[in-house]
Amino acid sequence: MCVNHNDHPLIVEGLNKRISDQAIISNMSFKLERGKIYGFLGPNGSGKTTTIRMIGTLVAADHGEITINGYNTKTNREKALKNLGAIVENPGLFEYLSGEQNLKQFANLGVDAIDQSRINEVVKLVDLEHAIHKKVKAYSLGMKQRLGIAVSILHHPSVLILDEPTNGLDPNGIRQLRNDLQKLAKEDGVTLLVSSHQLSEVEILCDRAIVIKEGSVMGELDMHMTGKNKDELTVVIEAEPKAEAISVLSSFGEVMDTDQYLELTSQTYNTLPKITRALANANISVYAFSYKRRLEDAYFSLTREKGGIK
Amino acid sequence: MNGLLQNEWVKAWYGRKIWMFLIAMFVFLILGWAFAAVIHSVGRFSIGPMEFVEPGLVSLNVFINLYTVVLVTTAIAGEYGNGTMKQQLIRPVPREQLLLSKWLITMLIATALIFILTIALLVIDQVYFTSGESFFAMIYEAFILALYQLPRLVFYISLATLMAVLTRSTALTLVITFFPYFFGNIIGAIAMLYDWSHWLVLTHLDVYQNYAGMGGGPPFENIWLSVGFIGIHAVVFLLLAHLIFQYRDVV
Ligand SMILES: Nc1ncnc2c1ncn2[C@@H]1O[C@H](COP(=O)(O)OP(=O)(O)OP(=O)(O)O)[C@@H](O)[C@H]1O
Ligand SMILES: [Mg+2]
Repeated sequence: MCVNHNDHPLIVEGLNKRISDQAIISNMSFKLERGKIYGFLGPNGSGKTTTIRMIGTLVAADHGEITINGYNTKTNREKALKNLGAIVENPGLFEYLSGEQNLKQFANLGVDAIDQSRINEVVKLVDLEHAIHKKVKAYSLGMKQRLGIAVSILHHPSVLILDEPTNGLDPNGIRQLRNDLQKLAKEDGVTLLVSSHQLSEVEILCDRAIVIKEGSVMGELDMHMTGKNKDELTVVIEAEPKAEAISVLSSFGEVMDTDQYLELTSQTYNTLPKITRALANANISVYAFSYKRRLEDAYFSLTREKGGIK
Repeated sequence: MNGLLQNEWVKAWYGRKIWMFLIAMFVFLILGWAFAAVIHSVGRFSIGPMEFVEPGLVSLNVFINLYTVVLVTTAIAGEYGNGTMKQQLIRPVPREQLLLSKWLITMLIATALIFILTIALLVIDQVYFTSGESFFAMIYEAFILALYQLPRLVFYISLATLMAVLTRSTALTLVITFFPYFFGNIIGAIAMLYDWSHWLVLTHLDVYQNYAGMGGGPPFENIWLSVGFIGIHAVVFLLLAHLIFQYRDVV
Protein backbone atom coordinates (compact mmCIF):
# COMPACT_ATOMS: atom_id res chain seq x y z
CA MET A 1 0.00 0.00 0.00
CA CYS A 2 1.37 3.40 -0.81
CA VAL A 3 1.86 6.10 1.78
CA ASN A 4 -1.20 7.92 0.65
CA HIS A 5 -3.50 5.34 2.18
CA ASN A 6 -1.85 5.61 5.55
CA ASP A 7 -2.62 9.30 5.71
CA HIS A 8 -6.02 9.00 4.08
CA PRO A 9 -8.09 6.02 5.24
CA LEU A 10 -10.95 6.99 2.96
CA ILE A 11 -10.42 8.10 -0.62
CA VAL A 12 -13.31 8.75 -2.98
CA GLU A 13 -12.31 9.35 -6.58
CA GLY A 14 -14.47 10.40 -9.51
CA LEU A 15 -17.68 8.81 -8.31
CA ASN A 16 -20.64 8.84 -10.67
CA LYS A 17 -24.11 7.44 -10.28
CA ARG A 18 -27.22 7.72 -12.37
CA ILE A 19 -30.53 6.46 -11.06
CA SER A 20 -33.32 6.14 -13.60
CA ASP A 21 -31.39 8.29 -16.05
CA GLN A 22 -30.84 11.12 -13.64
CA ALA A 23 -27.36 12.03 -12.49
CA ILE A 24 -27.44 11.70 -8.69
CA ILE A 25 -23.69 11.81 -8.09
CA SER A 26 -21.37 13.43 -10.61
CA ASN A 27 -17.64 13.26 -10.37
CA MET A 28 -17.54 13.24 -6.58
CA SER A 29 -14.03 13.18 -5.13
CA PHE A 30 -12.68 13.75 -1.64
CA LYS A 31 -10.33 12.18 0.84
CA LEU A 32 -10.25 12.09 4.60
CA GLU A 33 -7.18 12.64 6.71
CA ARG A 34 -6.62 10.07 9.43
CA GLY A 35 -7.93 10.90 12.89
CA LYS A 36 -9.94 13.92 11.74
CA ILE A 37 -13.65 14.49 12.05
CA TYR A 38 -15.30 15.64 8.84
CA GLY A 39 -18.70 17.18 8.43
CA PHE A 40 -20.57 16.16 5.31
CA LEU A 41 -22.86 18.99 4.34
CA GLY A 42 -25.27 19.67 1.55
CA PRO A 43 -28.89 20.60 0.87
CA ASN A 44 -31.64 17.96 0.94
CA GLY A 45 -31.28 15.61 -1.98
CA SER A 46 -27.70 16.64 -2.73
CA GLY A 47 -26.51 13.04 -2.49
CA LYS A 48 -25.05 12.61 0.99
CA THR A 49 -26.90 9.40 1.78
CA THR A 50 -26.31 8.03 -1.70
CA THR A 51 -22.57 8.65 -1.36
CA ILE A 52 -22.55 6.92 2.02
CA ARG A 53 -24.45 3.98 0.53
CA MET A 54 -21.80 3.72 -2.19
CA ILE A 55 -18.99 3.75 0.37
CA GLY A 56 -20.79 0.95 2.24
CA THR A 57 -21.15 -1.04 -1.02
CA LEU A 58 -24.94 -0.92 -0.80
CA VAL A 59 -25.09 0.95 -4.09
CA ALA A 60 -22.67 0.32 -6.93
CA ALA A 61 -21.07 3.34 -8.57
CA ASP A 62 -21.29 3.67 -12.36
CA HIS A 63 -17.73 5.02 -12.41
CA GLY A 64 -15.17 5.88 -9.81
CA GLU A 65 -13.25 4.24 -7.03
CA ILE A 66 -13.58 4.12 -3.28
CA THR A 67 -10.61 3.07 -1.18
CA ILE A 68 -10.89 2.29 2.51
CA ASN A 69 -7.57 1.85 4.27
CA GLY A 70 -5.97 0.99 0.95
CA TYR A 71 -8.58 -1.56 -0.10
CA ASN A 72 -10.79 -0.93 -3.06
CA THR A 73 -14.45 -1.51 -2.23
CA LYS A 74 -15.09 -3.13 -5.60
CA THR A 75 -12.14 -5.47 -5.94
CA ASN A 76 -11.54 -6.10 -2.25
CA ARG A 77 -14.97 -5.63 -0.73
CA GLU A 78 -14.61 -7.65 2.47
CA LYS A 79 -11.20 -6.22 3.40
CA ALA A 80 -12.42 -2.70 2.71
CA LEU A 81 -15.59 -3.15 4.75
CA LYS A 82 -13.63 -4.62 7.64
CA ASN A 83 -12.22 -1.14 8.12
CA LEU A 84 -15.54 0.66 7.88
CA GLY A 85 -18.29 1.34 10.37
CA ALA A 86 -21.36 3.09 9.08
CA ILE A 87 -24.89 4.01 9.97
CA VAL A 88 -27.03 4.82 6.97
CA GLU A 89 -30.06 6.96 7.78
CA ASN A 90 -31.15 4.95 10.84
CA PRO A 91 -29.27 2.52 13.09
CA GLY A 92 -31.06 -0.57 11.69
CA LEU A 93 -31.27 -2.56 14.91
CA PHE A 94 -33.23 -5.69 15.70
CA GLU A 95 -35.96 -4.25 17.89
CA TYR A 96 -37.03 -7.60 19.30
CA LEU A 97 -33.55 -8.41 20.59
CA SER A 98 -31.79 -6.89 23.57
CA GLY A 99 -28.96 -4.42 23.17
CA GLU A 100 -26.42 -7.09 23.91
CA GLN A 101 -28.01 -9.58 21.52
CA ASN A 102 -27.81 -6.90 18.83
CA LEU A 103 -24.12 -6.42 19.49
CA LYS A 104 -23.60 -10.18 19.29
CA GLN A 105 -25.45 -10.33 15.98
CA PHE A 106 -23.09 -7.81 14.46
CA ALA A 107 -20.06 -9.32 16.19
CA ASN A 108 -20.87 -12.51 14.27
CA LEU A 109 -20.82 -10.58 11.00
CA GLY A 110 -17.18 -9.64 11.34
CA VAL A 111 -13.96 -11.12 10.07
CA ASP A 112 -12.08 -11.30 13.35
CA ALA A 113 -13.66 -12.75 16.46
CA ILE A 114 -15.03 -10.19 18.88
CA ASP A 115 -15.10 -11.27 22.50
CA GLN A 116 -17.34 -10.33 25.40
CA SER A 117 -14.82 -7.88 26.82
CA ARG A 118 -14.90 -5.82 23.62
CA ILE A 119 -18.69 -5.83 23.78
CA ASN A 120 -18.57 -4.60 27.37
CA GLU A 121 -16.08 -1.95 26.35
CA VAL A 122 -18.25 -0.39 23.64
CA VAL A 123 -21.33 -0.61 25.86
CA LYS A 124 -19.46 1.36 28.46
CA LEU A 125 -18.25 3.87 25.92
CA VAL A 126 -21.78 4.73 24.82
CA ASP A 127 -23.04 4.57 28.39
CA LEU A 128 -25.69 1.89 27.94
CA GLU A 129 -24.71 -0.49 30.75
CA HIS A 130 -28.01 0.01 32.56
CA ALA A 131 -30.16 -0.95 29.55
CA ILE A 132 -28.07 -3.49 27.71
CA HIS A 133 -30.30 -6.43 28.60
CA LYS A 134 -33.51 -4.62 27.70
CA LYS A 135 -35.17 -5.11 24.36
CA VAL A 136 -34.26 -2.38 21.89
CA LYS A 137 -38.01 -1.85 21.34
CA ALA A 138 -38.04 -0.19 24.76
CA TYR A 139 -35.11 2.15 23.99
CA SER A 140 -35.47 5.87 23.47
CA LEU A 141 -34.32 7.35 20.17
CA GLY A 142 -31.10 8.55 21.75
CA MET A 143 -30.37 5.14 23.22
CA LYS A 144 -30.92 3.54 19.82
CA GLN A 145 -28.53 6.00 18.21
CA ARG A 146 -25.93 5.20 20.83
CA LEU A 147 -26.40 1.46 20.46
CA GLY A 148 -26.09 1.96 16.69
CA ILE A 149 -22.75 3.65 17.23
CA ALA A 150 -21.63 0.89 19.59
CA VAL A 151 -22.52 -1.65 16.90
CA SER A 152 -20.60 0.19 14.23
CA ILE A 153 -17.38 0.60 16.22
CA LEU A 154 -17.38 -2.95 17.60
CA HIS A 155 -14.75 -4.13 15.11
CA HIS A 156 -12.36 -1.17 15.52
CA PRO A 157 -13.03 0.45 12.15
CA SER A 158 -10.58 3.04 10.82
CA VAL A 159 -13.40 4.98 9.21
CA LEU A 160 -16.73 5.67 10.86
CA ILE A 161 -19.52 7.21 8.80
CA LEU A 162 -22.66 8.51 10.43
CA ASP A 163 -25.65 9.78 8.49
CA GLU A 164 -27.38 12.49 10.51
CA PRO A 165 -26.60 10.96 13.91
CA THR A 166 -28.01 13.89 15.87
CA ASN A 167 -31.43 13.43 14.29
CA GLY A 168 -33.95 13.38 17.11
CA LEU A 169 -31.43 13.75 19.91
CA ASP A 170 -31.99 16.21 22.74
CA PRO A 171 -29.29 18.80 23.52
CA ASN A 172 -27.87 16.58 26.21
CA GLY A 173 -27.75 13.60 23.86
CA ILE A 174 -26.07 15.70 21.20
CA ARG A 175 -23.40 16.82 23.61
CA GLN A 176 -22.81 13.26 24.79
CA LEU A 177 -22.55 12.04 21.21
CA ARG A 178 -20.10 14.80 20.40
CA ASN A 179 -17.91 13.81 23.33
CA ASP A 180 -18.00 10.16 22.29
CA LEU A 181 -17.08 10.92 18.70
CA GLN A 182 -14.28 13.29 19.63
CA LYS A 183 -12.94 10.69 22.02
CA LEU A 184 -12.97 8.08 19.25
CA ALA A 185 -11.07 10.36 16.91
CA LYS A 186 -8.55 11.44 19.49
CA GLU A 187 -7.92 8.21 21.39
CA ASP A 188 -8.45 5.54 18.77
CA GLY A 189 -7.47 7.57 15.71
CA VAL A 190 -10.80 6.83 14.05
CA THR A 191 -11.57 9.01 11.05
CA LEU A 192 -15.14 10.24 10.98
CA LEU A 193 -17.49 11.48 8.29
CA VAL A 194 -20.65 12.87 9.80
CA SER A 195 -23.47 14.13 7.63
CA SER A 196 -25.65 16.74 9.21
CA HIS A 197 -27.93 19.68 8.58
CA GLN A 198 -26.97 21.39 11.82
CA LEU A 199 -24.24 23.82 10.81
CA SER A 200 -23.59 24.95 14.37
CA GLU A 201 -23.27 21.31 15.41
CA VAL A 202 -20.78 20.58 12.63
CA GLU A 203 -18.87 23.67 13.62
CA ILE A 204 -18.22 22.43 17.15
CA LEU A 205 -17.82 18.75 16.37
CA CYS A 206 -15.76 18.70 13.21
CA ASP A 207 -12.26 19.59 12.17
CA ARG A 208 -13.22 20.03 8.56
CA ALA A 209 -16.33 19.99 6.44
CA ILE A 210 -16.99 18.78 2.93
CA VAL A 211 -19.78 20.70 1.25
CA ILE A 212 -21.60 19.06 -1.63
CA LYS A 213 -24.35 20.11 -3.95
CA GLU A 214 -26.13 18.21 -6.69
CA GLY A 215 -23.80 15.27 -6.29
CA SER A 216 -20.48 17.13 -6.52
CA VAL A 217 -18.07 18.52 -3.96
CA MET A 218 -18.31 22.31 -3.88
CA GLY A 219 -15.54 22.89 -1.38
CA GLU A 220 -13.84 21.85 1.79
CA LEU A 221 -13.73 24.04 4.87
CA ASP A 222 -11.49 24.13 7.90
CA MET A 223 -13.35 24.60 11.16
CA HIS A 224 -10.35 25.66 13.18
CA MET A 225 -9.18 29.20 13.48
CA THR A 226 -5.85 28.48 11.93
CA GLY A 227 -3.97 29.55 8.86
CA LYS A 228 -5.76 31.20 6.03
CA ASN A 229 -9.10 30.38 7.59
CA LYS A 230 -8.66 33.28 10.00
CA ASP A 231 -9.72 35.82 7.41
CA GLU A 232 -13.28 34.62 7.07
CA LEU A 233 -15.01 36.03 10.13
CA THR A 234 -18.25 37.87 10.43
CA VAL A 235 -18.13 40.45 13.22
CA VAL A 236 -21.34 41.13 15.11
CA ILE A 237 -21.62 44.48 16.86
CA GLU A 238 -24.25 46.25 18.90
CA ALA A 239 -23.40 49.94 19.07
CA GLU A 240 -24.92 53.42 19.46
CA PRO A 241 -25.39 55.66 17.62
CA LYS A 242 -25.92 53.34 14.76
CA ALA A 243 -25.45 55.71 11.84
CA GLU A 244 -22.02 56.79 13.01
CA ALA A 245 -21.04 53.20 13.76
CA ILE A 246 -21.98 52.21 10.22
CA SER A 247 -19.85 54.96 8.75
CA VAL A 248 -16.85 53.90 10.85
CA LEU A 249 -17.30 50.23 10.04
CA SER A 250 -17.76 50.82 6.31
CA SER A 251 -14.08 51.54 6.05
CA PHE A 252 -13.43 47.89 7.03
CA GLY A 253 -15.87 46.26 4.65
CA GLU A 254 -19.51 45.66 3.85
CA VAL A 255 -21.86 46.38 6.77
CA MET A 256 -25.24 44.74 7.18
CA ASP A 257 -27.89 46.19 9.50
CA THR A 258 -29.90 43.39 11.12
CA ASP A 259 -32.08 45.60 13.32
CA GLN A 260 -30.40 44.97 16.62
CA TYR A 261 -26.93 44.20 15.34
CA LEU A 262 -24.52 45.39 12.72
CA GLU A 263 -22.68 42.65 10.86
CA LEU A 264 -19.35 43.14 9.23
CA THR A 265 -18.40 40.29 6.90
CA SER A 266 -15.06 38.92 5.63
CA GLN A 267 -12.85 40.17 8.46
CA THR A 268 -9.55 38.73 9.58
CA TYR A 269 -8.84 37.78 13.13
CA ASN A 270 -6.07 40.36 13.30
CA THR A 271 -8.28 43.27 12.38
CA LEU A 272 -10.63 42.71 15.33
CA PRO A 273 -8.67 45.00 17.71
CA LYS A 274 -8.45 47.64 15.01
CA ILE A 275 -12.22 47.67 14.72
CA THR A 276 -12.76 48.11 18.45
CA ARG A 277 -10.16 50.86 18.52
CA ALA A 278 -11.74 52.69 15.60
CA LEU A 279 -15.13 52.55 17.27
CA ALA A 280 -13.71 53.82 20.55
CA ASN A 281 -11.88 56.65 18.83
CA ALA A 282 -15.12 57.78 17.21
CA ASN A 283 -16.73 57.85 20.66
CA ILE A 284 -19.24 55.17 19.82
CA SER A 285 -20.73 53.12 22.69
CA VAL A 286 -20.24 49.43 22.07
CA TYR A 287 -22.70 47.15 23.91
CA ALA A 288 -21.76 43.89 22.29
CA PHE A 289 -18.91 42.72 20.15
CA SER A 290 -18.38 39.18 18.89
CA TYR A 291 -17.51 37.25 15.80
CA LYS A 292 -18.93 34.22 14.03
CA ARG A 293 -16.93 31.61 12.30
CA ARG A 294 -17.60 31.47 8.69
CA LEU A 295 -19.27 28.10 8.25
CA GLU A 296 -22.78 29.36 7.69
CA ASP A 297 -21.65 32.07 5.28
CA ALA A 298 -19.27 29.72 3.52
CA TYR A 299 -21.93 27.05 3.30
CA PHE A 300 -24.39 29.37 1.67
CA SER A 301 -21.90 30.86 -0.71
CA LEU A 302 -20.72 27.38 -1.72
CA THR A 303 -24.16 25.92 -2.22
CA ARG A 304 -25.47 29.00 -3.99
CA GLU A 305 -22.50 29.53 -6.28
CA LYS A 306 -23.23 27.27 -9.19
CA GLY A 307 -26.59 26.86 -10.78
CA GLY A 308 -28.22 29.68 -8.81
CA ILE A 309 -30.60 29.43 -5.90
CA LYS A 310 -32.93 26.45 -6.06
CA MET B 1 -20.91 -19.22 8.28
CA ASN B 2 -21.43 -20.71 11.74
CA GLY B 3 -21.91 -17.25 13.18
CA LEU B 4 -24.39 -16.39 10.45
CA LEU B 5 -26.47 -19.49 11.10
CA GLN B 6 -26.42 -18.74 14.80
CA ASN B 7 -27.63 -15.20 14.06
CA GLU B 8 -30.50 -16.42 11.95
CA TRP B 9 -31.50 -18.93 14.60
CA VAL B 10 -31.54 -16.28 17.35
CA LYS B 11 -33.65 -14.00 15.15
CA ALA B 12 -36.03 -16.80 14.24
CA TRP B 13 -36.46 -17.78 17.87
CA TYR B 14 -36.88 -14.30 19.39
CA GLY B 15 -38.24 -12.33 16.49
CA ARG B 16 -40.34 -14.77 14.56
CA LYS B 17 -41.62 -16.64 17.57
CA ILE B 18 -40.92 -20.28 16.78
CA TRP B 19 -42.01 -21.19 20.29
CA MET B 20 -45.47 -19.80 19.59
CA PHE B 21 -45.72 -21.95 16.51
CA LEU B 22 -44.61 -24.97 18.55
CA ILE B 23 -47.36 -24.30 21.09
CA ALA B 24 -49.92 -24.00 18.28
CA MET B 25 -48.72 -27.28 16.77
CA PHE B 26 -48.94 -28.92 20.17
CA VAL B 27 -52.54 -27.76 20.54
CA PHE B 28 -53.40 -29.11 17.07
CA LEU B 29 -51.80 -32.43 18.00
CA ILE B 30 -53.84 -32.69 21.18
CA LEU B 31 -57.03 -31.85 19.29
CA GLY B 32 -56.20 -34.43 16.64
CA TRP B 33 -55.47 -37.00 19.27
CA ALA B 34 -58.73 -36.25 21.12
CA PHE B 35 -60.69 -36.53 17.89
CA ALA B 36 -59.04 -39.84 17.01
CA ALA B 37 -59.52 -41.10 20.56
CA VAL B 38 -63.27 -40.45 20.36
CA ILE B 39 -63.54 -42.36 17.08
CA HIS B 40 -61.36 -45.11 18.45
CA SER B 41 -63.37 -45.52 21.66
CA VAL B 42 -66.66 -45.70 19.75
CA GLY B 43 -65.10 -48.90 18.49
CA ARG B 44 -66.80 -49.11 15.12
CA PHE B 45 -63.79 -47.59 13.32
CA SER B 46 -60.70 -48.79 15.09
CA ILE B 47 -57.51 -46.98 14.16
CA GLY B 48 -54.97 -49.26 12.52
CA PRO B 49 -51.22 -48.79 12.02
CA MET B 50 -50.36 -45.44 10.37
CA GLU B 51 -54.00 -44.41 10.34
CA PHE B 52 -53.24 -41.77 12.95
CA VAL B 53 -49.76 -40.86 11.77
CA GLU B 54 -50.50 -40.43 8.09
CA PRO B 55 -53.48 -38.04 8.13
CA GLY B 56 -51.87 -36.23 11.06
CA LEU B 57 -48.66 -35.61 9.16
CA VAL B 58 -50.32 -34.71 5.88
CA SER B 59 -52.65 -32.17 7.48
CA LEU B 60 -50.30 -30.57 10.01
CA ASN B 61 -47.59 -30.40 7.38
CA VAL B 62 -49.63 -27.64 5.74
CA PHE B 63 -48.97 -25.41 8.74
CA ILE B 64 -45.27 -26.17 8.64
CA ASN B 65 -45.19 -25.20 4.97
CA LEU B 66 -47.00 -21.94 5.56
CA TYR B 67 -45.02 -21.06 8.66
CA THR B 68 -41.59 -21.69 7.17
CA VAL B 69 -42.46 -19.67 4.07
CA VAL B 70 -43.35 -16.82 6.43
CA LEU B 71 -40.04 -17.41 8.26
CA VAL B 72 -37.83 -17.02 5.21
CA THR B 73 -39.92 -14.12 3.91
CA THR B 74 -39.53 -12.12 7.11
CA ALA B 75 -35.84 -13.01 7.26
CA ILE B 76 -35.32 -11.38 3.86
CA ALA B 77 -38.10 -8.99 2.86
CA GLY B 78 -38.84 -8.10 6.48
CA GLU B 79 -35.22 -7.13 7.05
CA TYR B 80 -35.21 -4.91 3.99
CA GLY B 81 -38.31 -3.26 5.40
CA ASN B 82 -36.98 -2.46 8.86
CA GLY B 83 -33.54 -1.32 7.74
CA THR B 84 -31.57 -4.14 9.31
CA MET B 85 -30.63 -5.68 5.95
CA LYS B 86 -28.53 -2.71 4.90
CA GLN B 87 -26.63 -2.74 8.19
CA GLN B 88 -25.83 -6.41 7.63
CA LEU B 89 -24.74 -5.77 4.06
CA ILE B 90 -22.25 -3.13 5.22
CA ARG B 91 -20.45 -5.76 7.28
CA PRO B 92 -17.56 -7.69 5.69
CA VAL B 93 -19.56 -10.83 5.00
CA PRO B 94 -19.92 -12.08 1.42
CA ARG B 95 -23.46 -11.36 0.33
CA GLU B 96 -24.03 -14.91 -0.90
CA GLN B 97 -23.25 -16.28 2.58
CA LEU B 98 -25.78 -13.96 4.14
CA LEU B 99 -28.51 -15.12 1.79
CA LEU B 100 -27.51 -18.76 2.01
CA SER B 101 -27.60 -18.69 5.81
CA LYS B 102 -31.17 -17.39 5.73
CA TRP B 103 -32.30 -20.11 3.33
CA LEU B 104 -30.36 -22.81 5.13
CA ILE B 105 -31.65 -22.04 8.61
CA THR B 106 -35.22 -22.05 7.30
CA MET B 107 -34.64 -25.42 5.65
CA LEU B 108 -33.15 -26.79 8.88
CA ILE B 109 -36.07 -25.51 10.93
CA ALA B 110 -38.57 -26.88 8.41
CA THR B 111 -36.95 -30.30 8.34
CA ALA B 112 -36.68 -30.39 12.11
CA LEU B 113 -40.35 -29.46 12.47
CA ILE B 114 -41.42 -32.22 10.08
CA PHE B 115 -39.46 -34.82 12.01
CA ILE B 116 -40.51 -33.56 15.43
CA LEU B 117 -44.10 -33.76 14.25
CA THR B 118 -43.57 -37.28 12.92
CA ILE B 119 -42.06 -38.44 16.19
CA ALA B 120 -44.85 -36.85 18.22
CA LEU B 121 -47.47 -38.54 16.06
CA LEU B 122 -45.71 -41.88 16.37
CA VAL B 123 -45.51 -41.62 20.13
CA ILE B 124 -49.19 -40.76 20.50
CA ASP B 125 -50.04 -43.55 18.11
CA GLN B 126 -48.03 -46.07 20.09
CA VAL B 127 -49.33 -45.02 23.46
CA TYR B 128 -53.00 -44.75 22.61
CA PHE B 129 -53.85 -46.56 19.45
CA THR B 130 -51.76 -49.32 17.95
CA SER B 131 -49.39 -50.12 20.77
CA GLY B 132 -47.16 -53.07 20.13
CA GLU B 133 -47.87 -53.50 16.45
CA SER B 134 -44.52 -53.80 14.70
CA PHE B 135 -43.22 -50.52 16.05
CA PHE B 136 -40.02 -50.53 14.03
CA ALA B 137 -41.78 -51.11 10.76
CA MET B 138 -43.96 -48.16 11.59
CA ILE B 139 -41.03 -45.93 12.41
CA TYR B 140 -39.58 -46.72 9.03
CA GLU B 141 -42.85 -46.06 7.26
CA ALA B 142 -43.43 -42.81 9.13
CA PHE B 143 -39.99 -41.49 8.30
CA ILE B 144 -40.40 -42.30 4.64
CA LEU B 145 -43.69 -40.43 4.82
CA ALA B 146 -41.87 -37.46 6.35
CA LEU B 147 -39.26 -37.54 3.59
CA TYR B 148 -42.01 -37.37 0.97
CA GLN B 149 -42.92 -33.93 2.35
CA LEU B 150 -39.47 -32.41 1.85
CA PRO B 151 -39.37 -31.67 -1.90
CA ARG B 152 -42.41 -29.42 -1.64
CA LEU B 153 -40.87 -27.60 1.34
CA VAL B 154 -37.66 -27.00 -0.58
CA PHE B 155 -39.67 -25.73 -3.53
CA TYR B 156 -41.78 -23.22 -1.63
CA ILE B 157 -39.01 -21.99 0.65
CA SER B 158 -36.80 -21.40 -2.39
CA LEU B 159 -39.62 -19.69 -4.27
CA ALA B 160 -40.26 -17.42 -1.29
CA THR B 161 -36.51 -16.67 -1.10
CA LEU B 162 -36.51 -15.54 -4.72
CA MET B 163 -39.68 -13.49 -4.36
CA ALA B 164 -38.47 -11.83 -1.15
CA VAL B 165 -35.19 -10.83 -2.78
CA LEU B 166 -37.02 -9.65 -5.89
CA THR B 167 -39.88 -7.71 -4.34
CA ARG B 168 -38.36 -6.83 -0.96
CA SER B 169 -41.94 -6.80 0.27
CA THR B 170 -43.28 -9.25 2.83
CA ALA B 171 -46.91 -8.96 1.73
CA LEU B 172 -46.13 -9.34 -1.97
CA THR B 173 -43.87 -12.31 -1.38
CA LEU B 174 -46.49 -14.13 0.67
CA VAL B 175 -49.23 -13.47 -1.89
CA ILE B 176 -47.09 -14.66 -4.79
CA THR B 177 -45.81 -17.74 -2.96
CA PHE B 178 -49.11 -18.82 -1.43
CA PHE B 179 -51.00 -18.45 -4.69
CA PRO B 180 -49.60 -21.65 -6.25
CA TYR B 181 -49.70 -23.29 -2.83
CA PHE B 182 -53.45 -22.90 -2.52
CA PHE B 183 -54.46 -22.92 -6.16
CA GLY B 184 -51.82 -25.35 -7.38
CA ASN B 185 -54.27 -28.25 -7.32
CA ILE B 186 -56.86 -26.41 -9.38
CA ILE B 187 -54.27 -25.15 -11.83
CA GLY B 188 -52.83 -28.66 -12.03
CA ALA B 189 -56.27 -30.17 -12.63
CA ILE B 190 -56.98 -27.74 -15.43
CA ALA B 191 -53.56 -28.36 -16.93
CA MET B 192 -54.29 -32.10 -16.94
CA LEU B 193 -56.45 -31.43 -19.99
CA TYR B 194 -53.28 -30.80 -21.95
CA ASP B 195 -50.57 -33.34 -22.58
CA TRP B 196 -47.78 -30.96 -21.54
CA SER B 197 -49.17 -30.76 -18.01
CA HIS B 198 -46.42 -32.96 -16.60
CA TRP B 199 -43.96 -30.20 -17.46
CA LEU B 200 -45.77 -27.97 -15.01
CA VAL B 201 -43.89 -28.25 -11.72
CA LEU B 202 -47.08 -27.75 -9.72
CA THR B 203 -48.28 -31.19 -10.77
CA HIS B 204 -45.17 -32.73 -9.19
CA LEU B 205 -45.14 -31.09 -5.78
CA ASP B 206 -47.35 -33.60 -3.99
CA VAL B 207 -44.80 -36.38 -4.29
CA TYR B 208 -46.58 -38.55 -1.75
CA GLN B 209 -49.94 -38.47 -3.55
CA ASN B 210 -48.28 -38.97 -6.92
CA TYR B 211 -46.08 -41.92 -6.11
CA ALA B 212 -47.31 -43.52 -2.88
CA GLY B 213 -50.92 -42.51 -2.58
CA MET B 214 -53.88 -42.99 -4.82
CA GLY B 215 -53.36 -39.95 -7.01
CA GLY B 216 -54.34 -40.32 -10.63
CA GLY B 217 -51.22 -41.30 -12.53
CA PRO B 218 -47.80 -39.88 -11.60
CA PRO B 219 -46.50 -37.16 -13.93
CA PHE B 220 -43.11 -38.80 -14.53
CA GLU B 221 -41.98 -42.40 -14.81
CA ASN B 222 -40.50 -42.57 -11.34
CA ILE B 223 -40.25 -40.54 -8.19
CA TRP B 224 -36.61 -39.55 -8.67
CA LEU B 225 -37.36 -37.81 -11.94
CA SER B 226 -40.05 -35.80 -10.17
CA VAL B 227 -37.79 -34.98 -7.25
CA GLY B 228 -35.06 -33.97 -9.68
CA PHE B 229 -37.49 -31.80 -11.62
CA ILE B 230 -38.56 -30.01 -8.42
CA GLY B 231 -34.90 -29.73 -7.41
CA ILE B 232 -33.95 -28.05 -10.69
CA HIS B 233 -36.65 -25.47 -10.08
CA ALA B 234 -35.41 -24.81 -6.57
CA VAL B 235 -31.82 -24.44 -7.79
CA VAL B 236 -32.88 -22.00 -10.51
CA PHE B 237 -34.87 -19.97 -7.97
CA LEU B 238 -31.88 -19.83 -5.65
CA LEU B 239 -29.45 -18.91 -8.42
CA LEU B 240 -31.69 -16.07 -9.56
CA ALA B 241 -32.13 -14.96 -5.96
CA HIS B 242 -28.35 -15.02 -5.52
CA LEU B 243 -27.73 -12.92 -8.63
CA ILE B 244 -30.33 -10.33 -7.65
CA PHE B 245 -29.13 -10.22 -4.05
CA GLN B 246 -25.54 -9.88 -5.19
CA TYR B 247 -25.88 -7.12 -7.72
CA ARG B 248 -28.96 -5.05 -7.05
CA ASP B 249 -28.53 -1.70 -5.31
CA VAL B 250 -29.92 -1.34 -1.82
CA VAL B 251 -31.56 2.07 -1.78
N1 LIG C 1 -34.07 5.01 -5.21
C1 LIG C 1 -34.00 6.19 -5.79
N2 LIG C 1 -34.56 6.39 -7.00
C2 LIG C 1 -34.49 7.57 -7.61
N3 LIG C 1 -33.88 8.63 -7.08
C3 LIG C 1 -33.30 8.52 -5.89
C4 LIG C 1 -33.32 7.29 -5.17
N4 LIG C 1 -32.67 7.47 -4.01
C5 LIG C 1 -32.27 8.75 -4.01
N5 LIG C 1 -32.64 9.38 -5.13
C6 LIG C 1 -32.35 10.77 -5.47
O1 LIG C 1 -30.99 10.98 -5.26
C7 LIG C 1 -30.76 12.29 -4.81
C8 LIG C 1 -29.87 12.25 -3.61
O2 LIG C 1 -30.55 11.65 -2.53
P1 LIG C 1 -29.86 11.46 -1.12
O3 LIG C 1 -30.81 10.72 -0.26
O4 LIG C 1 -28.52 10.90 -1.33
O5 LIG C 1 -29.73 12.95 -0.60
P2 LIG C 1 -29.27 13.49 0.81
O6 LIG C 1 -28.18 14.45 0.56
O7 LIG C 1 -28.99 12.38 1.72
O8 LIG C 1 -30.56 14.27 1.28
P3 LIG C 1 -31.10 14.54 2.75
O9 LIG C 1 -30.35 15.69 3.27
O10 LIG C 1 -32.53 14.88 2.51
O11 LIG C 1 -30.93 13.29 3.55
C9 LIG C 1 -32.13 12.90 -4.57
O12 LIG C 1 -32.40 13.78 -5.65
C10 LIG C 1 -33.06 11.75 -4.59
O13 LIG C 1 -34.28 12.14 -5.15
MG1 LIG D 1 -29.81 11.70 3.57
